[in-house]
Formats: sequence, structure tokens, C-alpha cells
Amino acid sequence: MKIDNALLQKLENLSSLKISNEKREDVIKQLSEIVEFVENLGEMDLDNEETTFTTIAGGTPLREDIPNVNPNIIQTILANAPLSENSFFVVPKIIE
Amino acid sequence: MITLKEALKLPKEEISNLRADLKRVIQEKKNIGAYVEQLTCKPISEYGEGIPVAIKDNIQVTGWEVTSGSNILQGYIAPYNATVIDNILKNGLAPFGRTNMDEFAMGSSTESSFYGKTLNPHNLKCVPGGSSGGSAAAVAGGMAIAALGSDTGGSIRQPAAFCGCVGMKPTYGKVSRYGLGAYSSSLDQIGPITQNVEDAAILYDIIAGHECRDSTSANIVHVKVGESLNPDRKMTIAVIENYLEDASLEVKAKMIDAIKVLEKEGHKIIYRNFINSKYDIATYYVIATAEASANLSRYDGVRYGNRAPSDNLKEMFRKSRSDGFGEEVKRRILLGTFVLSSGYYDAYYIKAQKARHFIKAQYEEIFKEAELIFMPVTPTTAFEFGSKSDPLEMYLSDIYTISLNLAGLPGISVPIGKDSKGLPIGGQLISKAYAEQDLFDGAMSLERALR
Repeated sequence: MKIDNALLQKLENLSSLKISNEKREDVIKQLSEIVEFVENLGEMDLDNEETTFTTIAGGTPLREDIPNVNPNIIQTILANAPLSENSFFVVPKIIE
Repeated sequence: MITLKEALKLPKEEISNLRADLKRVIQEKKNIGAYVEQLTCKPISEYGEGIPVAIKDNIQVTGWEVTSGSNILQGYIAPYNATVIDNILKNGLAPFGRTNMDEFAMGSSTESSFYGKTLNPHNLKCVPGGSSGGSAAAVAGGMAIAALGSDTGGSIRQPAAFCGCVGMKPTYGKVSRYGLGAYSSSLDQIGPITQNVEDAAILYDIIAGHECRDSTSANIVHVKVGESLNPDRKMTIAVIENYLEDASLEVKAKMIDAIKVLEKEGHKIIYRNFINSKYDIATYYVIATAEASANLSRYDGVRYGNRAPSDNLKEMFRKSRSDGFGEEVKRRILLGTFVLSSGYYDAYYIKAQKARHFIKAQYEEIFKEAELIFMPVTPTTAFEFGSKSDPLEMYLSDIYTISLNLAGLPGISVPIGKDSKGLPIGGQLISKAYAEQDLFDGAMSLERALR
């Protein structure tokens, strides 16, 4: 299927990305080409295959819910964050 | 260059001489750009004092900038060690230098790195492969004893083949991904890039094992393969015949020579076929981009890396991501968002999941008759910079490496010769899941016979 400008806009919104005006045509063309290529999966006979795939035999393991905090990690992350104050990340005002 | 096996026998003072020598060589060969530090003109990153091992820029080392070759992670400092880093430290090795890579490991040429190009030491006009191109170029260029890379669709094996090194991707779950920058979590694996098969086995033994902080790490005791390497074992090896036909004439010719050599070594060769590799590519680009779109949603400018200035939160997310990610990363996020979005999910994502079962079953069928599978690593030798400008064309250069990640199997790329221009050619051996002993035994037999 062809990706058009409206669909690209929807995808940009969903992924918090903005494709610049001068790149849009190229991106639409490239995405359409790739999507058309992956549609070759339609040629495979997959009716009897399972719909979920797991890489872990026996499922995801469970563990005890024990608090485990390494203060050095917190400190390093906060110290190098774009903006932080009193152990919080600071972001632009959300509520007026 | 001294091998890893030899380096492990060195006394402490000789290791420190070795580190000093390496620093000098890295400085001299700056034009290769294998290390991020060579491209940014900074001193080589160090941690500890052991035998130096080069580390791909997506593996966490405490206190290092670890940026996955991206602008969006500029300013990020890793707060802990990846499990593989703790494991190498425990064994007398130490992380030494960040190797260049395609941004977020998305690429086959290392051209999409924020830091610039890595050159192929065999021909400076050619790419080193990718995404672990820096790790392969560092080993091939005599700038590293050994390196760690990561492999999501061939990112260890393909650059190893292009640069003439040995590159190994372990069974999914054998090496913990704890501390690896995530691209596609169900496909990513860390593995060694080395000068020879034995070194690969040694480094693999060091990094393998269960990690309780990684829910996808296989909870089985690691049996060391390096101590019982046996190149004299005779095995049944299945050659994928239709893959030979798809390769360039020179790659095909060297593969046929290698098959003859394996036969002479006493292995039984059988010929089998795989479905057209276009289905593997299609399955991979649906699953990998879907997982990438979810994994990369964490880069929003709030907690780490680059933030674009804005008064509005949503605008800040959008600007940070649009300015921070390169073109290929954006393309894959958009594609992944598409295949997961409502209305398209069944037609693309679910279909690809089913295809993944099909691809895995195809391998299982062949492993009923053979211990190993043998096929090319790449259809051609290293290509020139800028020669693949179309993204789809670049994706199609991964036809032989991708299906193994989809099936979760281990594989190794071994140099089998050079083309008429002197560029290395790699042959790929694949074994059953967790059968790394078979894999290394076969690889060693091939390597020994070709010497």
C-alpha cells in the first residue's frame, strides 16, 4: 500500500516525530517502497502458524518483589539529566 | 597483533605496556575512525587496567559516554556496567575504547553514525560493514586484540566478513543483554569480534551466562566451549544451495572452495534449500522496526541525553526526537509505528510473527539431518561509501544474516579468502540453539583447513 501525507502525519503524531517539509516527499516514497516490499509476506502460506512468538522457553520468569536501589545510579542520571532539581526531572510547565 | 589467548598469559606490567602501545597505534591510525575517540579527537575511554577489549558504543561502561552512535544521547553518562562488562573485568580483561557504529545499530555500513565514517582497513574507499563496523575495523586494523559487538540482523557477522575477522552471534539468551542499548529486544545479542576462532570461543565463554536482572537471559549453567575445542570432530554440514546461487561470482567461488575443504576434512556435506530470502528481510523489517519504535520511545529529552529547548512539553518531545535522531532511525520508528498501528497490526505485525515461526521451523527441519549449516555471510564483498543510497537496497544486503536472529540461533563468520580486489570474504556456520560447541568445533576445523 502507498503511504500518503495524511498517514505520515498520523505516524508522526504517534511517534512524536516531525519530518521536515523538504524531506517529506522522499520519506513518503521510501516508506511506501518498504511497505510494498514487506507485503510479500502475503505470498506465504501462514494459516497454520501461531500468532505469537516467544524467545524464552517456559515464559518470563517471576521473582520476589524486593526493593533494590543503587543510589549511585540515581545520582549519575540526575547529575547528567538535561534539567533536574531536588531529585526531580524538570520539564516545561504542563498545567497553566 | 598479539592474540587474546596469548594476552591472557601476560604478566601485569606487560599488559600496561600493551595498553600504551595500543594507544599509540590508535593515534597513528586515526584516519580509520574505528573508535569514536578517533573521530572526536578525545583520549581513549578506559576502565580498569586489564587486557584491553574494544567496546561497541551501545554497551554500558560505568562513567563512559555511551551513545549508540546518536546525537540524541550526547551528554549521557552510563551509570552502571553491562553484565558483559562485569564478566570481562572478572576475567582480567578491561573495556578500552568505544567503537563506532550505525546509529542505534540500524545499518549495514556504519555510515549512519553521528560521529562520521569508519573506513575499511583493507580498502579505505569501502565500508567496514555494520552496525558493529568500528569493532570489526579496530580488530582488522591492528588497533584491538578483540572487541565486543551486538548483532540484531547480522551486525557482528557482516562487518567481521567485510573486514576479514571472526565474528560470532550467540544463541539468543546465552549472553545477557543487561546494559545493552536496546534496538530490537527479541533479536539483539552481544558477541565477540576477534582475530581467530579460538579467541572468539575464549571471549564468548567469558561473557556468556545467566543474569537474573535480564528476564530474557537463559537460566542454564554455561558449559565452557573454549576448553574442549575439537577441530577433529566430523560432522554433517548442510549447505544452502539456493543461497550460493544468489551470491556474487567471487563469493560463490570461495564458498565452493571452502565446501571442498570441509569435505576433505572429513565432514559430510549435504545440500538443502531455504525459502527465498526476501521473506526473511520482510519479516525482519516488520519485527525489528516494531520493537524499535517501542524501545526508542524512551528518548524524549526528559531524563538523559539531548533536549531541544521549548516551552511546551509535547513540542519538546517532538523537537528533541526530530533533532536528535538521524534519518534511518526516524524511518524505522515510523515504519514500526505503522506496522503496530490500529488497522494494520494484523496485516503486518501478526503476519510477521507467523512468518518467524515458519523460518524457525525451516532451520529445525535441516537440523534433523545436520549438526551445522554453511552459507555465505554476505552476497558481495565490502561496497564503496555512498554506493547504496536507497534504504531498501541497503536492507537487501543482509539476506544471509537476518533469518538466524529471527530463529534465535548462534552463528559465526569465518574468513574464507579474498576477492580479486583483495577484499575479505566470509563463510557462515550456524548450529542448533545452545550448541555453541558444535559451532566452534566446526569453525575451527574450517579455519585450520584453510590456513
